[in-house]
Amino acid sequence: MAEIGVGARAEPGSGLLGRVSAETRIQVATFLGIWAAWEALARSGLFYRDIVPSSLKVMAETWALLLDKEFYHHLGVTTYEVLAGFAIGSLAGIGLGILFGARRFLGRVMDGYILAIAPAPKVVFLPILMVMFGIGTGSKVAMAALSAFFPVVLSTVAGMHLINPTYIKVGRTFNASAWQMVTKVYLPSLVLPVVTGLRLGLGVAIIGTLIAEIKLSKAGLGFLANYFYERFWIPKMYAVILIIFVLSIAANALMTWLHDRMTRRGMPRVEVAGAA
Amino acid sequence: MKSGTKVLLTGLGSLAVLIALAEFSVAAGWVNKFILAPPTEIWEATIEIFAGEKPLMAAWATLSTTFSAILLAIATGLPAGWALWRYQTFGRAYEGWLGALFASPKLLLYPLFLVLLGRNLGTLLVMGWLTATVPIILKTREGLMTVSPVLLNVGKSFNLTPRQILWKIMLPSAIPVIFTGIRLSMIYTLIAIVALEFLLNFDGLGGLVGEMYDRYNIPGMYAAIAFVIILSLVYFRILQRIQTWLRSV
Repeated sequence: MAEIGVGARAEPGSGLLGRVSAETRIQVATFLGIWAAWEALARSGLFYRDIVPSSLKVMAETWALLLDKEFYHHLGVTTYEVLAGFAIGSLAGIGLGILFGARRFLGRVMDGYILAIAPAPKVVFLPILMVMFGIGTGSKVAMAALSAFFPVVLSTVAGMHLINPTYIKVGRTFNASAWQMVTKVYLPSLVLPVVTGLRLGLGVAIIGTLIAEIKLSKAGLGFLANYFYERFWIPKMYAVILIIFVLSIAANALMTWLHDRMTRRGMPRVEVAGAA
Repeated sequence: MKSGTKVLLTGLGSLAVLIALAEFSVAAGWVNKFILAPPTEIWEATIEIFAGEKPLMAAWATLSTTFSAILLAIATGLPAGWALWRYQTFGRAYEGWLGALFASPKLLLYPLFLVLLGRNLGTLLVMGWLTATVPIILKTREGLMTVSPVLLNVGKSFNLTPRQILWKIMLPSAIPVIFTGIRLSMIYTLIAIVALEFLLNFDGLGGLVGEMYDRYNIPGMYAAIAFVIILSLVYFRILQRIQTWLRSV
């Protein structure tokens, strides 16, 4: 009878809220509380015009932005920069990670360099990249690639160390070529560590690209946010930031979903230290 | 020769070869010196910049902002993490949100605080605090949740009050996990502060690099970048040492 909710509603003593879990109620209440506080601030007149704009205004600007053809040009530029850089950085990370993992001596030598640079704030390399690749999309792609490279190479190397040595011996016994070792032995065992690295890598590639765009650029979502900021069109700026947040949280959710699917298939987990 | 020494020597040797290669390729005209400054010029720039107290002031500015933000985050994040552990329903309700916030590009919220607080240290501190506090809350809760039941039973058998159990048993045994949170927040906060200094031309390490670029002082820019990397390396090594030490105690 009461399989899917319909019948449950008739149960005595359970009002409309009775079927909602306590956690959901807390979440809804918190959301409404923050929203109400924001609206109260927006209407209080405590702040200079539009510094805290009404959420309705921000939503209206977001909608207007989504209908604007120009916006999609900027979205396209940022998407291209993030994806191109992410692809370059992660391919380099996977390739070098396998190499450093397979050649232990080389790996230990390179470890020093990688661990020295991996946790450093990558943004300081941006001036070099702008000098090398100009202030157009080139330096943004390079920034995304550099950002994505480190988490990917670190987790690939960590994954290489976790491969069951028997598999490697079997491969060697069969006289597998280097390419066969990579495609038949290493890569299949590396899926989960690589996905872990890719998840972190995509996140930092997005931030790196946007920071580079905000610093100096001619197009992209970071450029757009900065453009609105400089003209003090604050609701429009909030709209861009809102869209950036939604997109990057969606990208992260997608990678997390991919990662969880792999974990459920029983692949080994790795922890990546200092992958920031 | 021990293998560790061999690794170190090979590493240093290849670094020397790289530096020599960089010097030679600029001298030979293969690479434009306005793209890759020759290492000798970077060295001269280093001496010149370090003759003044600018780099040290910059390092001090960055580190003091970072530490202040982290202290604020510890002061707020520890009680918040405790509350989310104590009131489990709230903990479960906010866990996912905090996780999403941790992974989101929080740094891009800086214009919000820039318009609210102005272009000053306040914006940097709030952004640093926002970056630092999330991992501390999450790890404090996790640390308290994973305290071994055996330890708690020992406490109960000694008739300790809940307050004594919290201070004498739970917090000490949760410290390694909590410190993982503090270490994460120290990494991310330093990165965020340097990035903001760079973006906003603010005094500090990020601002130092940005200033060299703005003046198109290419050797100085490389020198400043090398300084930031060496400093952050030392910073992370110290954090790692503390973590290892805490685990062994």
